[in-house]
Amino acid sequence: MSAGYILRMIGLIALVCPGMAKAQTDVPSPAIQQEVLKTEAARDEAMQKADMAVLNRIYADNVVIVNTRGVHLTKAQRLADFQSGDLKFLSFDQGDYSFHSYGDTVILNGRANSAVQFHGKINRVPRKFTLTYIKLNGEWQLVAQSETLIDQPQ
Amino acid sequence: MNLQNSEHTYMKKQRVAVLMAIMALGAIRPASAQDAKHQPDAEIQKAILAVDNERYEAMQKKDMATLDRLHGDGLVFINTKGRMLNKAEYMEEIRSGNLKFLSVETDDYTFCIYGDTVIMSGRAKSVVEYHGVVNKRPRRFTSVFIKMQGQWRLVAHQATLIADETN
Repeated sequence: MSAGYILRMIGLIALVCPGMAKAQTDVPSPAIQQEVLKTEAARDEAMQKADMAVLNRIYADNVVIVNTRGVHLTKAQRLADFQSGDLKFLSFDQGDYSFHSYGDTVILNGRANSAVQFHGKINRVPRKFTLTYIKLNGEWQLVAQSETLIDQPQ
Repeated sequence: MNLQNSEHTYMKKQRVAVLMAIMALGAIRPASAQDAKHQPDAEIQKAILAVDNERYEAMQKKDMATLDRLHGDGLVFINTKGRMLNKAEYMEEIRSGNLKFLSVETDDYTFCIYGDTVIMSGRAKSVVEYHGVVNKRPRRFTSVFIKMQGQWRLVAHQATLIADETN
């Protein structure tokens, strides 16, 4: 086994495993996009059913949530909102996705038109969101979620 | 060179190659779940705050080279109007003067560190002029920083106005 052979093998590994290139920006593969969207679909269903076990699995313990009112919520607060019924998704409609990946971190941006009832008030204003997913222990977990209403008076 | 020396040189080259292989594989090892740190790390927080300060300073000075270095090419920036900008659009807003920071004031930070990914959230009371309209309303922001080639870079930022509690 020559030195040249080993170096050629390293080059080959780096070439065929682009995911190993640390923190390189890229659009994730269709398979990763599907995995993240599948997690989103599971979150959507769990939010509508207030399925706390699924929500507990998807939201990372230290998730940072900023809702459309600019309130910073912890995981415990968000789950409590679902459990109590203070937060209800009357319909779920989101799309216009864009993806960026950096190693095991995927940033998903999109637009939501869902009708949401929060503490008795219904909000149908479209919003832009940023979701940051990280693969932790083999599962995609939501570590940050931000939402901003579109075209609201400043 | 006799055979013994030649073998010795060959073995030495092999050891160097193996060492290089180990180092190279270590260098491209992806951030994994095992890297995730859920406790704030003072050193990383300090580095992120330094980058963020440098970013604001560069925005005020329209230092495009520094801004280019501190923002990832895949930057997604969502402003308080829910408008999504990519890096080129965001840089152009600053370069053209459409986006100006008249003052910078941020506080109430939280950090979550997952290997080479850092989530920073906080409150901003900065005075911002955007397309001629001055906005002084406080807002919550979430920034995602990724360490790339030894440099922390902002790859995602979203700001949301803090609602008046009387509403």
